[in-house]
Amino acid sequence: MIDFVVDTSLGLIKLLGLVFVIIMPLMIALEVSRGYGILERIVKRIAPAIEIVGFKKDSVFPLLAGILFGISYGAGVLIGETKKGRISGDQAFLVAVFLGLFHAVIEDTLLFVAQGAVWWILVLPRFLLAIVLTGIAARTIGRRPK
Amino acid sequence: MSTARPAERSLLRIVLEGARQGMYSFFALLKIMAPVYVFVSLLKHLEILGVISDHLTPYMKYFGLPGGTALAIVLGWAINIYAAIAAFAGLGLTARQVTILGVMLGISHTHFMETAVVARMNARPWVIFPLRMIVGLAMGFLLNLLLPETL
Repeated sequence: MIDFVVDTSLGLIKLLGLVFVIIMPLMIALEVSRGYGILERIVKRIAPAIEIVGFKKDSVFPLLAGILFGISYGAGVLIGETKKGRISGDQAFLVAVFLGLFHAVIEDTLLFVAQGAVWWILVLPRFLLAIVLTGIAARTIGRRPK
Repeated sequence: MSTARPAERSLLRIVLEGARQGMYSFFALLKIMAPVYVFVSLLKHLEILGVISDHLTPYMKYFGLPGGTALAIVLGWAINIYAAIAAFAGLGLTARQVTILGVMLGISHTHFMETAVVARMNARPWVIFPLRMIVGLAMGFLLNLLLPETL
C-alpha cells in the first residue's frame, strides 16, 4: 500500500513535470511564430499537401507537436486552440486519427531500434496508414449531414 | 510582401500570451492525466494485467511472436512502451520479432491515458480507441505474413 502511494505520487509528479516542461515552450513558440507571421509562411508552403488529407492550416502545429513529442502534447496544443475557436470538432477528430496512428515517432522508434528493430519498417507503414485513414475519415465525416 | 508583423504587439506580450495559453493547456491535461495515471498505477500494482496476458499467450503465434510477448503487448496497451520493453527485453527476440512488436505497439499503446486525452480533445474517442487496437493487431498479422524470415 505504501509502495503504491509512493510510486504513484513520484511517477505522477515526474509525468506532470515533463508535460509542463514540454507544453510551455510549445505554446510560447506557437504564439511567437504566429505573432511574427512565421507560422503563416510555413503553413502556406505545405498547405496543398495537408489539404488533400483533409487538414486545415490551424491543425498543422498540433500535428507537428504530436508527431514529435506525443499525442498528449499535440492534444495540449489543440485544446488551447479549440478554446480560441481556431479548430473545429471535425478537425480535432482528424488530428486524433492521424496522431493516434503516428505520434511520438522519434522516441518510440529509437526505443525499439535499440532493441534490434528495423527503423523504416517502424516508421513508414505507420505514416502511410495515418495518411490513408485520415483521408478516409475526412471524406466520411465530410459527407455526413450536420 | 503581404501582411507585416503586428507592430502593436511586443515580443514580451506575445510570450506572456503564449505562457497563458501554456498554463491553460497544462491544467487541462493535468485534470485528465492525473486520475488516469492513478488508475493505471493501481492496475499495475494489482497485477491484473498478468492474468489478462496469460489468456492471450496462445494467440501470439499469429503475429510470429513467442507466447511470452503477450505480457509485453498487454503492458504496452495498458501502461506504456517502456513497460512493454521491460517485459520483452530479456526474451532474446529476433530483429523480425522486435520489428513486428514495434509496429503493433507503436500504433496501439498507452490506451487508458491517450484515449482519455482524445476524449478531452472532443475527438470521438470511441472511434479512435478501437481503430488503433484493430489497426495495431492487423499490422502485426500482415507483417508476419509479409516480412522475410530474417531481417
